[in-house]
Amino acid sequence: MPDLDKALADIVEIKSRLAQSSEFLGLGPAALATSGVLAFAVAALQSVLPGAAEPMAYFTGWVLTAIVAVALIGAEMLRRAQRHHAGLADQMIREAVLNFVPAGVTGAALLAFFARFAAGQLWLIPGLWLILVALGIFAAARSLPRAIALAGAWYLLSGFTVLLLAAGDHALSPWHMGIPFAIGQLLVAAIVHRASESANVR
Amino acid sequence: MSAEPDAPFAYDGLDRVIHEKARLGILTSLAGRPDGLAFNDLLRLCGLTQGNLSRHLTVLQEAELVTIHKGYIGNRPLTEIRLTAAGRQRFLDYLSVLERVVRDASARAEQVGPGKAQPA
Repeated sequence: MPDLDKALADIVEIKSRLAQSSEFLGLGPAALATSGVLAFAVAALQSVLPGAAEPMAYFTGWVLTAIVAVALIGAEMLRRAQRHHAGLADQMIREAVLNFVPAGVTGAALLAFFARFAAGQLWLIPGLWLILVALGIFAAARSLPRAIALAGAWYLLSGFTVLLLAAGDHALSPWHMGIPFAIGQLLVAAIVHRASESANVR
Repeated sequence: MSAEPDAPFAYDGLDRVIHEKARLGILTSLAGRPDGLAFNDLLRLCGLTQGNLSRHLTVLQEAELVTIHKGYIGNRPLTEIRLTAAGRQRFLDYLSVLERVVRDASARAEQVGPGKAQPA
């Protein structure tokens, strides 16, 4: 039934346009804040564990932390989007995820590339990851509270600062990840919490 | 929103205010524009006359689906139309019911099959 399929596609297209022009309320402050605390805890742990600054241990720790953080934020996003966006939940989640996918894939590809072909330059990765997070936030800014641009600016500034700090000795410091992510995630959590309060959303 | 169990094709959620060709066009045009559209842009997008567009906008405004703001840019008058939050939600609800209508029709058509369609 091509006519019916076309009609369905048109309806889905209109819903996508509604989703693109609506503020996304799926991000939960609790999960965001937890991910910030987690980043700080991992940095503290790595700074006292012997051998944690070795590239393999360092990046394994941070990749696992990222997976846990994404799982926490994703689970809360699914719950909140179903509650606050009802009929638009699927479209809103899709839009939100698509905004961050390029940054996430690029971050993973950069790590794989440097690990395989330029192991001596792995010190660049923390700074580049922070810059990619900033780009992901700026890409999603249109559907998030306006103040989220502050968090994007924080990650961008942190990224370049970390590159500058690591440029001297080319060392991998846990705090180059822990501090920017802890402050950045807590900032995003505060912005989202404030926006939810003004929209009277829990 | 949900249909009665004994009348699965009642589709009570098809809002009569929205379920009109011109008004559906207006709301669809406004759907992706959180900052609204100018009256002249709506005229072009919906292919309506000025009188018809004004009449349908009045219906939508009375139903609190859109807001109409009359102002100026320099010396030129500018009328801006925006979807309200309630209008956005009602339009979304309408689309969800419409989607169900099309899915039901598609399922029925598949049950009957292409060679078994009854003549009208």
